[in-house]
Amino acid sequence: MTNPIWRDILNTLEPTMSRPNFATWLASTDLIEEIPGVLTITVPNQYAKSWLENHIIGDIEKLLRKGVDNYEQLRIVVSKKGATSLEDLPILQRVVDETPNEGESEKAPKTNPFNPKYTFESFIVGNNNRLAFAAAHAVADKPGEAYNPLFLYGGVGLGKTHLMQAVANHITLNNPKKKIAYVSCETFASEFIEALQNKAINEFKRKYRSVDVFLVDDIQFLANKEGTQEEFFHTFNTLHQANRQIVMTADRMPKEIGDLEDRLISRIGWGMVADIQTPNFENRVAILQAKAKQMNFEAPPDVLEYIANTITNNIRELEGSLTKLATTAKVEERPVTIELTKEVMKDLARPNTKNITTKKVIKVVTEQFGIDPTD
Amino acid sequence: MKFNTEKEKLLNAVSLTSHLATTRSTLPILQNLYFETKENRLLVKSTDLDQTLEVLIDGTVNEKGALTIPARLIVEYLTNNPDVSITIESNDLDLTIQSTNHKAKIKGLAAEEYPSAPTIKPQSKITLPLAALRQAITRTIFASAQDETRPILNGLLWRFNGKKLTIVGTDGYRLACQSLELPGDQQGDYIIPKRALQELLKLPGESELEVAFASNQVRFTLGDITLTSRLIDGNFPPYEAIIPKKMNVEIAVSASSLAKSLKLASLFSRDSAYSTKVLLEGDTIKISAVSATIGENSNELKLATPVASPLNISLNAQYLVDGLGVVDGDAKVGFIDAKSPITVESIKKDQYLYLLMPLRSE
Repeated sequence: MTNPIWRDILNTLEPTMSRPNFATWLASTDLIEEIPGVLTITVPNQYAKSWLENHIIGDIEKLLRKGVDNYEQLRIVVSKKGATSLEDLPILQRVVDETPNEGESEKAPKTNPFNPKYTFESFIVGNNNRLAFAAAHAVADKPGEAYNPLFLYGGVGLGKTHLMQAVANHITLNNPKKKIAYVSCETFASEFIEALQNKAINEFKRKYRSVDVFLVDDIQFLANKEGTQEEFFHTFNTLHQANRQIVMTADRMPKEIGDLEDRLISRIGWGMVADIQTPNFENRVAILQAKAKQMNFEAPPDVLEYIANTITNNIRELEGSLTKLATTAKVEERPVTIELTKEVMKDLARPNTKNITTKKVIKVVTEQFGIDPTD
Repeated sequence: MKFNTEKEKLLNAVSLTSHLATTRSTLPILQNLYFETKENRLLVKSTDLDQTLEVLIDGTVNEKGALTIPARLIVEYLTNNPDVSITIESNDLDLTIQSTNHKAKIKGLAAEEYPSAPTIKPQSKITLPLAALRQAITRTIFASAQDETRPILNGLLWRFNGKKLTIVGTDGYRLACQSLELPGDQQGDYIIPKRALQELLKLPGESELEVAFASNQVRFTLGDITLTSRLIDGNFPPYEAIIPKKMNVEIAVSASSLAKSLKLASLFSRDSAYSTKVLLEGDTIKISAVSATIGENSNELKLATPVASPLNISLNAQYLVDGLGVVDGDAKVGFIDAKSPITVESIKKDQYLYLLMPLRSE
């Protein structure tokens, strides 16, 4: 974070000098200390100090005299690169803290923080998600050995979180001793910031760097959060080096998440990247059938087909509509018919009334390009 | 500037200094080499702003002056020039290179624009044998961190303690340290950037190296070559704390055969951080790796003396291979249990120690 006074000065100087000179000598300087009259700025190296002193110190002093009360003196120091904390050394950490921690975790009551409904058994597999399902299952069977990291991406409400929680549930079931951290990226970011504010950063690091399985939802929220990204990167590295399983989800491919550091993208690529597509019509009907069975709700096939046709790209909405329909039918004691379904779903209506046919494709294409369909 | 010398001398100087003339810099002039006459010699200099290399070459100065010239061009030109004697002459911003049968004119940039820094004022100096130092750096530098996010681990610790110098590198997962006997007394900890030490390794010859430390800089002088680098500020992690006092199991094996078995196993563990299982039982060491996607591999080596109790441990095969790679002949590998550090030493007691953490597995 650049000091505002210094920021102003840099902004004034930037247009007066060549771009390379500015980028090399001034871009990474900062004002670090301001005791009345005496200002201290840091520069990245000895050369920058000499260059500033030989070329531009006069201009800077002129600006400072204008902008700062009682300006007397400017000091230029070479910044101190370094200062790594011990927390960045897993080799040391593990030796030091491992043993006491283990006793504690066994004493702690085992609660399952995951939604027990989200299992592999309740996940409807179709062509749209077969790879993601297989990869997640392999990971859950052998955490850290199959695909590490596993990266799942797909649109909203298509089952990323379901799969991720299924991994967690499966591991908890088979191996209750494993420490699993499941966190949404936003929680990770806000905990990180909170830890920074409360100076509890070591605790934060220990919390996430000691887990066996690290599940992070929605990592697209890392975009534009440099500090969190850096911390996430180290957590990632520590865990990956120690062969702990990492599973991440996002709503798009790693490359397409804007402003994600390259080193992070390349690390994500080390493991398996699997996508979840929108389900096709048959899958949607299958999902509804499964859901109806689970709710003990009898719905005629044409109703299910109608819903599957109306909601095409979001499983959460698909299931939501069915729940809503079931509730309405029960409360109002009405038979489950297409009419009722239409009524219930009118606010959700975004109907896909026609399945795409060859005829339709020809029609749209010919209209677009202004050609005769018979050509 | 007009200067005459042997082509080979000039070529050596520009090749060496060109390492620091990076094309990655934001400042175009840093891709150039700086030439300046100094009495009857020519100074060739380059810097990446953190490190600086200077080489003085003998010859005849006919006219004083200074100029900067694109590094890559002059290196390639001189490499391919078959002539023996060479004269360089500056005319404004052009440099004419004249040899028996060849002539070139290279466009340069003004010497005044090349960054300069004051010469360092050493607080302490010591002379070290380059050959031993080179070996110590080679045996430790690979264990230091690759990424630049943890600056301290991106350098090697030089710890002077009386008549002993210990050089340590670690990336947080493994650690290598080598000690050397010193001719004189010296005290202090210095963290020297990896980049500077990589350059130091490339310096020619086997003679004595003078090392001078200032508050935040170090200067290496080898005859007519000077390498200056900033020091990394901060405290190196207390690495002694993790060096085990006593190992439960120690085996003596040929470093190269163990490394070969591990390399075979690592082919099958690339997708799981080179996670490889090592089982010590009786007089056998069994190394195996399994991958869900690739397949599996297992290897057996015989031990000269059987181990007292069996031990099963998972480790990063690549890390162990790295450590064995710097040991000549037989290595002594020590284990405590599946959670404690593994040590690698040479059977020859050459003051070298390599340490890696096992991977945790259930």
